[in-house]
Amino acid sequence: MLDRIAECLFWIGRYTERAENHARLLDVYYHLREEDGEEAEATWKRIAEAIGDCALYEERYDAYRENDVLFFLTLDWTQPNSILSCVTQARNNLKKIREQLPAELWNLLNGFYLWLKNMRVEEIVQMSPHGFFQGLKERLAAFQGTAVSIALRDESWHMLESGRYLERSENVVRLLQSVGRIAPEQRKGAFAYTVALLKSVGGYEAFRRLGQDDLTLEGVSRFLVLQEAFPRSAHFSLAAFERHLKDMRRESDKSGSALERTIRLAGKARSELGWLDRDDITLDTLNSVLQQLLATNRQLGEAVAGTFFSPGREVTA
Amino acid sequence: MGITNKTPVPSLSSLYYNEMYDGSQVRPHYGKVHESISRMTPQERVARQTKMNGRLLEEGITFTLSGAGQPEALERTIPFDLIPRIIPMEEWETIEQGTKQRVRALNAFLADIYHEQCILKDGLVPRRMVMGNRYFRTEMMRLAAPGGTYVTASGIDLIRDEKGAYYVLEDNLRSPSGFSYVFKSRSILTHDFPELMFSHPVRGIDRFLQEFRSSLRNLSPVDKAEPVVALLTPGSYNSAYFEHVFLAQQMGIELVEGRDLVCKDHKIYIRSLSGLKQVDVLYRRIDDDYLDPLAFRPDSVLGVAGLMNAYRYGNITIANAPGTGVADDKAIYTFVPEMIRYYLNERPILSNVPTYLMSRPDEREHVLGRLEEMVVKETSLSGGYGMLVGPASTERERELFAAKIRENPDNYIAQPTIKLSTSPINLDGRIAHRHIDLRVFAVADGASVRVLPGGLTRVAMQEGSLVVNSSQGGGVKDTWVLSR
Repeated sequence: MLDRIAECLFWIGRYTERAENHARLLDVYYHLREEDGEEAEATWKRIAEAIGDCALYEERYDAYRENDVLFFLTLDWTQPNSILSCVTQARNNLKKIREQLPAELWNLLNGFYLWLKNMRVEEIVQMSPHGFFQGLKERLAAFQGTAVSIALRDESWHMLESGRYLERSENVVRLLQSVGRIAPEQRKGAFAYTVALLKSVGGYEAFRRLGQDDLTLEGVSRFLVLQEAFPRSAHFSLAAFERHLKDMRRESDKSGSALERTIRLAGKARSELGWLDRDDITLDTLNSVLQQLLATNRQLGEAVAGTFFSPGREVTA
Repeated sequence: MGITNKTPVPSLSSLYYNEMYDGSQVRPHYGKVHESISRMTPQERVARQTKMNGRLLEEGITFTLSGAGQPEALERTIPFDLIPRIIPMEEWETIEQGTKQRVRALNAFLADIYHEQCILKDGLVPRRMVMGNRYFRTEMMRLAAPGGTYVTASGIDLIRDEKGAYYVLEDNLRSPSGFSYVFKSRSILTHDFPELMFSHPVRGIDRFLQEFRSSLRNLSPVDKAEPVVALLTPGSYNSAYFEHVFLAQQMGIELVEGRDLVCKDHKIYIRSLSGLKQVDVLYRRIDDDYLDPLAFRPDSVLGVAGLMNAYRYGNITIANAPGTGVADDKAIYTFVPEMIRYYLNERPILSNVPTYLMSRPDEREHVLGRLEEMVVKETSLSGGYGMLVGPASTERERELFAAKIRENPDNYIAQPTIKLSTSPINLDGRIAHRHIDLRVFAVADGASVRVLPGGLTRVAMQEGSLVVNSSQGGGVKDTWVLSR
């Protein structure tokens, strides 16, 4: 596999995963309103904050209004973190390396991109935002499911999946941070937030099934960071990331020390989570645990880039 | 209720050969297609067409038009028409034999001019026109091409006169484009109009990719069980990138850009995560000029430094070989029938369109006297660029062109206004008649040449227009060869 192909695959994995996380989060946040009512403006601001850059928003709009916020977060291709931007990035990366993955996957992602690109905010509001977010999730699931169903399990598959899982573990952390930032005394609807958080990652039922009843920020954080069996937890994601790196070592005859180092780094991050006790995550320590996880994620991303992508390598003739 | 009831076959029908109608009669091989198309209501035709267009877009069967100042390059789908073009078995027999003959002669010509140059010594082709040609590569002199195959993949463009006889309009021997459209058109018609497709004995085209693949593998300079074949593309910003992806994926060969390749010890390698992998055959889809900055244009970043040396050392095969452009030049084209007689000692099966060389004073004066009836082309340009279509031109355009011809007569050829046959197309549910041509694809492998049954039918979507190139808004039709 070529360096530039590895890079594209990794980013396809990351961007499709990011798009899914955004769609899930927005779906839940959009339908979450403070019980005792709040100013409409505050609601839309809260939603914009979830994934967007508020400074950028305020530069462009004078107030937080439903349609503007929805457009900003979903369809604004000049906003680098909008869902359309993520999908466009994934699609453009796939376009460069179409021959590496089954044509069905390209057709799905390109069809998805065209559908989203031609969508207007008025349509989203009209068809109900929930229906829209549902549509996004289903299309992303179709892409992921088809890949699972037909893609060859070679290096390119492992590259795609390692991008996906690294992105997922990072998203869990950012999600918890966004809720953790709300000061406790302002957290009137703390319970509602915590449930929303769980629901956004589709983990509410899993949480219940495991017989947990500590529906507080701490309890949910423990679940989303540590729960090995839940596929959207940080622990699960890092373990999957590590596994795909190891598979890549088996596939390629690249026995470079850089890959070994990256694998060790991933293994360390995963086992550190494994050693954490539930009491290690409390409201007081949560922030530092998340900070550390974020730093680890950044380190892993850099290690992957250093190992697999080498844009500046000299060409010898 | 026939098609003719709604839109009478235009009076042009006497001037041009209509593929479906013979006067007011439907030609027998079009009987079933005519019947099912005329049974559909305009709404049904529109619906069917919309569905097909949607699929083209979704599968990204696009070519890219670069435009400055746009956020994204413009991606356009090529207009696809739901009415197929049908070629009866006997007609195809002639086309196939004629194409094979032509490709063999052109390969023999290239082998000759890059070695003994007998045809120049015997005075059949003026030496000046070959040696002074901008596509002639002195670097190729006396280099052996494996199996004498200079042109592996070729596309021969055919048109029909008012009586329906086929003529060769031009040869494309450098990196002919359009394979992917043939396969996608077939796939669309098979999936989205199956009842029409399956009511005809249409010859399959899938085997061609297999043949293409083995032709490329057979070019390997060393006898390896698994030679490494790579397609060299200029990259995803190239207008034909979709085609490069398609061919690489369908034939299972590597798709590489110049920056993915490296030359070491006169061998070419792919730089991959797992180390270097030597390339045996390079099917290149970039022009000679850009292949190797050390040998050709020094400012090119699309190719690989050292490629021509590796080729000279016999460590890699380049397909099509560098320097094939000299044989598809629009002036050299005039001599192809001579080549067929000279090298093969055969009678040409497919005729050329009568062509005047502007470098011959009497022919030049003859043409300049009647520019309004002529199509003038610049010999080294393709894609519908640098053309004067006499009947559609203004007085002023003709004057400008005449001046250009006098200034540089070697660069121009002229042909009487070409006669392209017409075919019905579905235009927003209505039936209209438009001009079409046919690009026939062949792959050569040593002495044997294989021809893709059918090829690419290109449609000039503008009423009355004779320019079918996709870069100029031309469309395509699925092309059927009947097996009985």
